[in-house]
Amino acid sequence: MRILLVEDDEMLGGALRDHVAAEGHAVDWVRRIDDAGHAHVTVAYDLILLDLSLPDGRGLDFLKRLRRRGDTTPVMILTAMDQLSMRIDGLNAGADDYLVKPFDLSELMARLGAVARRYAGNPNPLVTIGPLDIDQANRTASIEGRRLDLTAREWAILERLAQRPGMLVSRPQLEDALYAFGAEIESNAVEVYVSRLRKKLGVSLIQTARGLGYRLATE
Amino acid sequence: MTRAVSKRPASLTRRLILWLTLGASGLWLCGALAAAAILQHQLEAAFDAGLRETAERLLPLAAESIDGGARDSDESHEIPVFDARDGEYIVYQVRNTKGQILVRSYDAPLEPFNAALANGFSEDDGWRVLTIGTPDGRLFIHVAEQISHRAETLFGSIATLILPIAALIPLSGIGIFLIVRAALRPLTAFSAEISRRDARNLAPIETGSLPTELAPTGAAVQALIARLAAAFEAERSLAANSAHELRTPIAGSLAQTQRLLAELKGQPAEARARQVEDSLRRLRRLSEKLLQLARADSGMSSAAEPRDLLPALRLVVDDARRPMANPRRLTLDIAADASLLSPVDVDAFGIAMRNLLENALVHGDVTMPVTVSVPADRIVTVTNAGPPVAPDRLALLTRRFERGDTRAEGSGLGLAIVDQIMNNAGGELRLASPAPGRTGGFEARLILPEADHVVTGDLKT
Repeated sequence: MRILLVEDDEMLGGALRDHVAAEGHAVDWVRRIDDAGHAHVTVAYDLILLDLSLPDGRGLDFLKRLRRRGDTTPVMILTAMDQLSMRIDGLNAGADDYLVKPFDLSELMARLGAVARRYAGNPNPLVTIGPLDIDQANRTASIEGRRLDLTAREWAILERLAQRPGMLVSRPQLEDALYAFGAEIESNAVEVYVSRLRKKLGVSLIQTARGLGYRLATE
Repeated sequence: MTRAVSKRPASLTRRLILWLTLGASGLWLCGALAAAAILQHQLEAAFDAGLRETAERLLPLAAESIDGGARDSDESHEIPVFDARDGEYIVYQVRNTKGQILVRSYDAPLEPFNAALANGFSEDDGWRVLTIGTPDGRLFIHVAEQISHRAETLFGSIATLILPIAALIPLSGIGIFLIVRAALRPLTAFSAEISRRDARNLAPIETGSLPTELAPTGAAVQALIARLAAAFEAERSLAANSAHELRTPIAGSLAQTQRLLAELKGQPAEARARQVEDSLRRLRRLSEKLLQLARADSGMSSAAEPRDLLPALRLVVDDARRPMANPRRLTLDIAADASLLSPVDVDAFGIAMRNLLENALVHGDVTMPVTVSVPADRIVTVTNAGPPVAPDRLALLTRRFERGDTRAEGSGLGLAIVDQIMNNAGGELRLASPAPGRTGGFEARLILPEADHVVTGDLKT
């Protein structure tokens, strides 16, 4: 997933960026609301991690502006404000989840995955396609019960395809999934990792729609 | 052993009515007495004038009568009386220089008055006597009136003056009561308004209808309430802001430590990093509880307006289920038509419920269900399974830093926080073990305060 992290605390933001990236997601980290606005206009994010107290305003106002525009990007609020009333305000403003600091990184990742799956239309973290079992919560995949050893980049491609099995995922969307692993995405990076995945999963599980993208076969 | 006697505060209304009535009655009485004194003086003068007038008219007539009689008969004769009427107020005696009575009125004493044969007033054995002599000094007339007659007349007049006042005193008392009550009505209403203000209700007081004399007091009380509300708000804000300022660095440290752990996997330093992580988690837990306690102590438990807290309850239960491996272990059971409409601050209620749920999920039998129920209006129970808690231990659980017989980690503050919140909000926390209807387990029951008045509008979630 390509994730926008809006957090002004250097120590927390740095750790979040590194951890989310290490889990195979592409992360853009900004520290101000206006930077978040610019980033969101130029990149289609799969999820936004939003702090509420930022130097140039309230994260909640940014969220309300997004929702007023009809933007449905999943937003997870990260805040040190634990009051129920603020939480209710956050959810009423259109947040998908609300995590109070301090939190465990494992809890963040579990919530993040749950929100993403909910948006993908499949809240179940377990995806089974023929012999292939994908556990999105634990980030594991297996063929006929045999666990596959996937690199972070291979997992990023597989996870994006598994969010909507059978649906076409464009090449730029897959490039976004790889964005976390380097500022410069090589032009054939998607083909390289799809090829490696096919070797591990079997050729028939990932189908190519020439000129359009890839999809995870459902039959 | 001495017994404290509580003295009932004096009523201003009663005191005003009493003193005004007594004052008015006293003034009336003084007025009446002064009038009586003047009346007495005037009556004495009038009676004396009457005696003088009578004497001056009678003396020539008596002299002429005596002189004529002496010419007609000889000197000795019976003392003639002028009139045989009964019940004279004024009597007289005409005497010669020897003191003999020559003429007297019918009711005059037979013996001569013990008054000197000289012009002027004197008093003699209950008589007021005026003596006047003829210019040649041969005859003297005593005109007298009984002093008791004068006193009767005076007392009759004074009684006529005072008796109506006695009847007017109760009437004036009633009048004063009605006037005082009407005049003090703004003060009574103002006082009732103030008495309704406490930590739970710091709404502004209506001072627009106060009279001029009370307006400065009203303004001062209003300012005081505003300052108090601001102080409470500042305390709450401080607690909330402290929470923010404390949580962020702990969050950063914990996240960095967990990143370090991920990067040190399998290396010798991993164990050390794990210790740091454990310490940070303990710090997180303890700081959380202390901040909650600070907020509970800051009087944030009451809300100015009652709200239905059911949506908040559902939210807290959903939150608690999220990290659970088996979310079905926590059930929520709400009786039909039950409401949690209560003037409790939603954040304070959230803190109380989170603590009760944490308590039930962590310290009870972790393999058994935990039930949150709303069996009736304004009642929430949280029940968990586990061995019963001894009654003496149960009574101590709401003390600060008091922990139950459990191996699970805890601060010993959870139930103290809930208890403090309920006390501040005017509600109650009741603990029972075994849980009602069971042989074991533990039940925490929140009894939320009733709303004095209902405001429509629920929380949206």
